[in-house]
Amino acid sequence: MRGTGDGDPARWRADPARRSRGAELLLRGARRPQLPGDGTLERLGTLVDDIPRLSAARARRGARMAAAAAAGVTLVALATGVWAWRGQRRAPPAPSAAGAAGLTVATAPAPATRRAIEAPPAPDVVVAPHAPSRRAHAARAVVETGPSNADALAREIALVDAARGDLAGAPARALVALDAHRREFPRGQLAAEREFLAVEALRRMNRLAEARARAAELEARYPSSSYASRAARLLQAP
Amino acid sequence: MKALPRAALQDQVPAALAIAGVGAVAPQELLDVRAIYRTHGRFVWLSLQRLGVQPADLDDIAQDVFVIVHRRLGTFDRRARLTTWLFGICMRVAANYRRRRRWTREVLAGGAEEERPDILVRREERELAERALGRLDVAKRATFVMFELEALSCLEIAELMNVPVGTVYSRLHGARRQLERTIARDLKKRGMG
Repeated sequence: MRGTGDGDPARWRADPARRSRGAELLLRGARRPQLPGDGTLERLGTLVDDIPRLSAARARRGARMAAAAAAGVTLVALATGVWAWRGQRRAPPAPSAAGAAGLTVATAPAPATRRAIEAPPAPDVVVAPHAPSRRAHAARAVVETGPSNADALAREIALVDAARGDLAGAPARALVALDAHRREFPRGQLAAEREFLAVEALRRMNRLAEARARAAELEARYPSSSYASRAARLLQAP
Repeated sequence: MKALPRAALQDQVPAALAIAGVGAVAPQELLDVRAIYRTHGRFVWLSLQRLGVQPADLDDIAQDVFVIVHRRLGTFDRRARLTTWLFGICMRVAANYRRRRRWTREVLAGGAEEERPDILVRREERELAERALGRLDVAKRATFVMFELEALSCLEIAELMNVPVGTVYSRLHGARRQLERTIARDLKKRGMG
């Protein structure tokens, strides 16, 4: 037991001579917190047992919406050449954004991604409103029917890359994509990287407590990952 | 005058349970709301009452707490105490609950059937006490309840509420003063002053 409370004031109960009428009445009348009965505890327990399942169902709905938002983000990223950058990084230098997109298609993206890539690379606000529902279907397919690994990985890459592209300029938007990834691929192949990026996004948004919590979680889950140590260093920096 | 030794108060208080489960929790366990319920369900149940959730609403509000626990598990800092984190959630949920509900007479109205005079007196005292407690903010209320009714030490309260012990002292002082004033006024209004 911590602390005996030596500096504490005397309790009313222990000080009958000096307590007021109001104090007397409070001590007699106030309801002391009661422990739940076994029946109550058990009934509530069955409700709590359901929470993860119910909330997973809600998260799937949420993921579809977030994925829809992320699809929008991906389109913007496309227009600004993030895919071109990715193509350059992953493959021999590509001459143009369109060429890079072609290379990416070759790595088997989800149908919606392919669709998005086929859209004109120029900023195109008309495409965005339609894209979400297609991407949403793709997301649902990923969650419900268990797609091939390649498709899942392509989707993981799309989400994480979109987030990385937004990290410096729009960390909040990056976090939306990362949260979508976290819901869809809690233990995905890019999970450690995602957590690291989330720490960085939170840090940039000055949500330091959450950043630290997330970094601690990253460290606990992937103790040997270089992302864990990088996240820790990130938070030590002044 | 010094406080009574703890042992003297122990029988009045489920003290061990009041702050149950403060030991280390395995990381995997933390990831599961059901495990937390098993180790800390009682603690949440008690804490919500400390914060002024009425018995009839406890089921619903406790459930709300665990939904939030599940959702926010990822933000829990393992270096912190689980009880402190849980109490913080209880506090926010209880504050919302009280805002929604505003202390009303419905709880107090109860049935006015015929009863023995001593029971009527008792009911009146309960009414006055609960009404006065209901006027405190949740932090003051919980501080008062834990200190005066459950005999927790100010240090224990400080740790649970994640505040310096000085804050506990001042909340306790404020709570007592406000309670005595409210009760004196209510007694006067009822011609019992």
